[in-house]
Amino acid sequence: MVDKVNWVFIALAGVSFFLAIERTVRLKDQRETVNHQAMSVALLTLGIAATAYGTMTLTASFFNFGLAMWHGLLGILIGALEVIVLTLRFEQIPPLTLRRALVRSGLVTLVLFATWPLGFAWAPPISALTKIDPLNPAVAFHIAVFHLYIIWGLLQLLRLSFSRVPGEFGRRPISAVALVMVGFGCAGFIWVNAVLGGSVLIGIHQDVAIIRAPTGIFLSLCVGGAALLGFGERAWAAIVTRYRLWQLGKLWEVSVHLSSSELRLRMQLPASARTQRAYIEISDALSTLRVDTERQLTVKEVAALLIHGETTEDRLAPTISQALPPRSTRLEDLQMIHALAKECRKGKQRSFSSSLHGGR
Amino acid sequence: MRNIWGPHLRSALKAAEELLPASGEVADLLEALSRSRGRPLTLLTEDLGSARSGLLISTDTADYIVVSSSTSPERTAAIVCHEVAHALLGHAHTADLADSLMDSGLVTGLDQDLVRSVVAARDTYEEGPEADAELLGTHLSFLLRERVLRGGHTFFDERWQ
Repeated sequence: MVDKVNWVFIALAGVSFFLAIERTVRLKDQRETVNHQAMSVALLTLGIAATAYGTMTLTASFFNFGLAMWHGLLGILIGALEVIVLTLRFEQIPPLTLRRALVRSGLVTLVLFATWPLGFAWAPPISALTKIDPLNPAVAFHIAVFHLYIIWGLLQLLRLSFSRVPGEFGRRPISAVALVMVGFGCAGFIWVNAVLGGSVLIGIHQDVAIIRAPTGIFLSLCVGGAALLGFGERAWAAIVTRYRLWQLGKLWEVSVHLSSSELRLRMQLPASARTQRAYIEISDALSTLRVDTERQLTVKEVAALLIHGETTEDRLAPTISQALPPRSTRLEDLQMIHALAKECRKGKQRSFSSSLHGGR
Repeated sequence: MRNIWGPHLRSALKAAEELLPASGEVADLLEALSRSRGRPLTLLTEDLGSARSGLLISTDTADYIVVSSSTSPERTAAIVCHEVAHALLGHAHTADLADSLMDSGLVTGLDQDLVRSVVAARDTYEEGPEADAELLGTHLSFLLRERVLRGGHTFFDERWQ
């Protein structure tokens, strides 16, 4: 019995169920959106459908139940994918467009389940519809609708993936790579569905095993790309956050040490919030600490003043923020903080090494 | 140390996430908040001295966030997010603070008779409403910074989560 189970699809089902539960728990406090709902429906449907496909040989003698479930549920899955694509294309999906996608998915699912008892529920156990000869009209309709709807859904995903790649390369390289993977995976499945569906309908018997051989690669590309979209970006964000904390560490330490301000939040915070606290507390310190100067200072000079603690209590003296080169946008200000943090790190290292040399 | 995200903070965060602009600009955040509350929320710059970094002042018809004129853009973002957090958390206004602030002459851009209340001078936050506002404000400021560093247009980013 064990060798009749397709373990790849059982594993796919497991991953889908895990992701569905993980998302539900992770996003439980967030506002419910069409996108969230469609993602949950897609993952849960994929989980059930993949289980049905993985155990199709076992359930074949029960009115080809597994095959019917696999085909029917793909109608819901493609519908959910179409809705996800819409949420990624429109900030506010036009209600008519959304309704159309839902009705299309509902009708296709209905057709696929309705043609099951008419077409192949009482046929001998079958695992691949390409072996049916002669073609029952209900089965022919079933196959045409099934493959065409899959191709339609995948085309939407393919178009979305490739259209977003150029914009993502500079900004979010991980997402861009993920989108390319998903795009190629979809293109592969479109080819498989076109060849399989076409062969059955035209009546050309092809070697199904050869056509299906690369589906593992296409599936890996789609699943890998989707996982990279979901987890890769978050992993990258976590790495960037840690890097920023390290980058800002010295400046944060020095500026908070010098500042008499009470603007500190004494709580155990996650890394993302801790990084933001670094920016906020550094900005607070730079806006309240004063330096004895009548001219504008360079970032390097300010770093040296901070490291040596050369600030003044004179209320007529400019704040460090005022003494630094002017910044009119938040981006310019953040870039200046990064530059100052870099100089502070270098300055601290220099003072440490000179104190070592002085000690000898 | 304490458990940081209570239910009131989580629901305020939920409301805030609907307002966050794709651009990451604080001006756009204020515009979105004004629209959702049906009450204008305007940013004013005044010389507040070093004691207070930001204030939320309410009149009968509008709210004003006041920041020190010498403040940097990053600090302005932190102050605005802190004050927006107060507004989202529905913190009570302090009439005494309103009177003393207007008497001090620190805020010159508003008519003294119109000022109904002042809330949340962003000066210290060991615990209570100030700490809650600063915690939520920090998170909002972080989300906006992400958008600013990515060059805005991040509307679709969260949808891949």
